[in-house]
Amino acid sequence: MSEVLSFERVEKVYKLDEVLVYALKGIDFSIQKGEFTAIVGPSGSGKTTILHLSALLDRPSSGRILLFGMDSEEISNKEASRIRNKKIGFVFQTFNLIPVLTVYENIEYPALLYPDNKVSRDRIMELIESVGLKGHENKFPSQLSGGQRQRVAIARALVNNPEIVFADEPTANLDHETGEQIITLMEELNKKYGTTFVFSTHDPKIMRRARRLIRIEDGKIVGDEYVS
Amino acid sequence: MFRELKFALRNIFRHGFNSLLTIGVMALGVVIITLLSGFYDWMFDSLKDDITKTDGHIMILKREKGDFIDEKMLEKINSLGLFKNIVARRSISGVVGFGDKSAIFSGIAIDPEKETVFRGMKERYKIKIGKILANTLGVKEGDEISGFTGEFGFFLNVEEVYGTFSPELDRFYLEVPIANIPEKKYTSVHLQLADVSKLDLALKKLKEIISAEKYDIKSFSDPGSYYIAVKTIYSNNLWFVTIVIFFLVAFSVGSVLFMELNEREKEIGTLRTFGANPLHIHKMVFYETFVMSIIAWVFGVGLSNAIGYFVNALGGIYLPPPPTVSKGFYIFFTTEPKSIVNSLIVVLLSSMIVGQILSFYFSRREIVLQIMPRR
Repeated sequence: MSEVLSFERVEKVYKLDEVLVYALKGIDFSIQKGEFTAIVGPSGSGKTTILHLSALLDRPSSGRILLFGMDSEEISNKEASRIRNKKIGFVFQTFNLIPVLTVYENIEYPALLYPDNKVSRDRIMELIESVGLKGHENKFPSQLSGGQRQRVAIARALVNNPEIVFADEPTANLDHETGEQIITLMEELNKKYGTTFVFSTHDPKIMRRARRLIRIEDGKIVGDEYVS
Repeated sequence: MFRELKFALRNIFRHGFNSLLTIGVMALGVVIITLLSGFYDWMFDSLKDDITKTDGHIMILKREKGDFIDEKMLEKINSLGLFKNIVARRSISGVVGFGDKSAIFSGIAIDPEKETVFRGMKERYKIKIGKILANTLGVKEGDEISGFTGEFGFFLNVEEVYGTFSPELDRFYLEVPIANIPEKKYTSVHLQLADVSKLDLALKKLKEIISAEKYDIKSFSDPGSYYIAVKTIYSNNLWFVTIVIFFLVAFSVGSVLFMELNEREKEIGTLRTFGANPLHIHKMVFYETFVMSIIAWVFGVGLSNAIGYFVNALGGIYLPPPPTVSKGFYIFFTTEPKSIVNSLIVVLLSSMIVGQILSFYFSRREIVLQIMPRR
């Protein structure tokens, strides 16, 4: 397995009014291709910050992040946009679907941003089918349940065949049964396409499904274990 | 492009009331520009029409040292076969009296019958006297006055007391029937073309038979100083109104669009998470402002045309006479393609410039701040 992501002594400091908040305090870890990893910890521990930094949505205050072998500090904003489009998928806790676009259009949208993305209608329909939404492609997000919306969000994250998908508490806004279904779906996609998944959660039942658990508390990694 | 326009349309309609308000303000701007330029265009056209009805399409004027225009020259002009109406006039000056009062005058000798045809009037042309001159003499319509020039004497019935914008003209102006002139010699000839498109041909032919040293030949397309002055004033006025509307539309679109983009900031952050760069956001806002402008423009043009049509059909809007003028007048609207295009340019430019300024701001904010749940 090859390394797709690594954090080396990464720190992230935010300034809230006049107060400095240390969100990450020297984090080290790496993710291998094809892993199904959960970052777990209580609210405010730094899980979302790790995902944002990993997906090039933010820059570290110090330390180094290597994504696909590239130092994040050396990636321009323009190139970061391109990498986010082609190599990274992101799933939000609140789904973040575009309300004026149908299921099909929401999934298609990232593929339309760059003309060199060769995504066919068949590919999108295959994704819709693989997330269990066949027949719903012309519906708008407001016509879907929470679980269905998250399935659309997962399909959208996968449309450009990304190498890695980051999911920020993807089950937090869903009931337990739907949450289990979403994790099962992510597992299946991980196996089917070999896509690396890194997701955050604080739900013990969901974290049991991960093959690797990175535990974080107060901005520090307090545990990193592979589970069978 | 069809897809982008479709998404833009959906985004506009999702903010129903806000968008309707903005489109309303933009359409109002279009209505003001179109109707105002429609009124000015009607006025310029009327002015030109008035010039051709009063002075003809072509004027031949005796130069200071030139000879008078005689009947022989009129026959030569008529023989060209290009003119439907020809009138000759003679500048005159002298003294006019009524009862025990007298005053000097400056005016023209005219043929009222020919002037009636030339000016396209239904009733016979009335012999006029300037308002101030009439007051000085104590003359009213129907009175008989007498006068003389260095060449001839005359009696005439005052048919109309005439007021203009020019007190100087009103102080001295008098028209005398041309029948009083002993010798049929004129200082100007006014020609109306049977076919206006033959203006250049007519000018060419006239220059062949008339000496340029003795006579000045002018066409109605060489606008007079009054026409130029009026057009300059109103064109500047229209520019000022257009600039005001530009900013009105810009501020209106700006405030509503800012609210809309602010509400959609999480969406913008989401799009950027999936790889949209600032250019993509600029493009999205461009299409939205474009669609909004086109809707407002179509609506505004339709509304202004409907208003213009009804006002014209109802006989125009009556405006009372300005100071020193004896008669009021009716205004109408003429919709020219030029004013419709101008209104489109104004709404498109103002909304798009503001849209691009706002998208510059929203496409460069930190993504993590945009995608954070809002408190």
